[in-house]
Amino acid sequence: MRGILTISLVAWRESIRSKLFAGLLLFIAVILLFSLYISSLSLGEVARYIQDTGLVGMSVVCLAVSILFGLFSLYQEKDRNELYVLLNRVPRSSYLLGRFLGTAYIIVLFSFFAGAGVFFLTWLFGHKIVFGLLWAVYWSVLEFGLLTAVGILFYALGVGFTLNSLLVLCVYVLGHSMTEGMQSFIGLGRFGSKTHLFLVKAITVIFPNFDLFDFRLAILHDEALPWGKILLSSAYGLFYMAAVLAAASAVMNRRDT
Amino acid sequence: MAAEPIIEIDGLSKAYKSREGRIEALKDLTFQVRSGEILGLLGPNGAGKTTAVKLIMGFLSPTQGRIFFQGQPLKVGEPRRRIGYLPESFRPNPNLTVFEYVQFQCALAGDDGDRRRGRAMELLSFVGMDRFPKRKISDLSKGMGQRVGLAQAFAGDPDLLILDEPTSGLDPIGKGEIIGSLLEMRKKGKTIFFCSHILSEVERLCDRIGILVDGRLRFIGATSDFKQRWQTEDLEEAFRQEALCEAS
Repeated sequence: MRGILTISLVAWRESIRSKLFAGLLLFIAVILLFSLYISSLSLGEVARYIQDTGLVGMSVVCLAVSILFGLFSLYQEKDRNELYVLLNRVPRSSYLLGRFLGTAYIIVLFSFFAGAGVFFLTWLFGHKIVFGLLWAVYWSVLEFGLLTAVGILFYALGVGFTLNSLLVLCVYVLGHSMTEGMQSFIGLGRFGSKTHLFLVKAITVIFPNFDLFDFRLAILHDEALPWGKILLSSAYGLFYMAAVLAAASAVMNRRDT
Repeated sequence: MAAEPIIEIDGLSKAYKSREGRIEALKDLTFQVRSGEILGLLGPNGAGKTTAVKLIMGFLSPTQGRIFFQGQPLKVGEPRRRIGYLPESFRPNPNLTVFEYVQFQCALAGDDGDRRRGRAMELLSFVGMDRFPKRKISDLSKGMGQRVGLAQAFAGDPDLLILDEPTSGLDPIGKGEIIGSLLEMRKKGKTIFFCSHILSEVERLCDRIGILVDGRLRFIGATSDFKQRWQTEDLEEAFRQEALCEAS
């Protein structure tokens, strides 16, 4: 446990000192300013436009954090041969978990920055206090934590950085098309049997389903999120993350490094 | 009486599958490193030195063979906390300072709190880097980076040091400093096993040498015995003859 925490703290320190960190902070600021500009063009929908654009910005930044901090640093560590020094001191699973945790801290930080920015702009310019934005931060951490874990699994499988980034992007896009895909299938239900429907539903759960964390519309319309859904989505995200990280550790333990 | 072996390598082989077929990187490697000695594994590029080290460190799984450390078998993939390791072409984390990096390694090696800070400073002083604790690693020269690498290898006070090409790419002054630190470690009773293809440093440092050519250990023993085998006073000449003999 101590090894995991030590590695995660060094990963955190390493990330906040990199130029990329400052670049992503600047990007959030630009997105928030852009959301203000877009909202000024709307007719009486200022708060909604700020939130909509700001939440998209949060997703883009967290996606960049997952790939550039979460994954790229793993490959850099291997290039520098530093990986071997670390694996001489901690088990491979601790190394992966430490790196994952370090990236999770950064995802929390950026989600919080973006969420807080959107909250204040909505309050100042849209004259609305939307506490639901706190939920947006929570879902973002869960969503991009899971995406980082998937990238770590690809790394453990020996996939190179470029291909890994592309795969992670594909998983992200496909993971956000699950509900739509299933609804289309149900719409065509008359052509399929119950077995087909069961299979499609199973695929939408087995493949990382990011739609389960997407409550953007409910947040935008200031609707209360049902606790049952919150609990189910949280359990799904946490269980999936744990399973993917366990698989990554098991694979890395068996592979030549 | 010969000292007890600290590490025993027994029939270690490693083969890879490639498009050209099966490549045997290491063939039936058997030797011991005795406690308190400096053993240098010499070989031309591609001889299998790094493969041997990675097998010993558990980063690669052997096709055949076993490794024992202080009499206990070592498992693939498990950390070797009692072995200090410096990999080839090692570059420490460039976003940390020298002190932070060594302190981080001391923390992973099990030191905590004030002891960790004290130990990190002690190690930096030992490798002559105590004047630059706050310097960022990205601002260090290659030689300084290598000294930081050596300091991290000493973290946790390991019984055995395994170093892969510790002086590769360094200027003569940098090489001299690294060799000085290693000789100092030997005085402290540490065992050192290292790989190199630089014959002068091997001759200066080692109690015994191993000659690895094309994945096979051709000789292990004192440098003088190796030179006598090829009836020459020049280690480089003896080494060249050994390598050519394998080629023919």
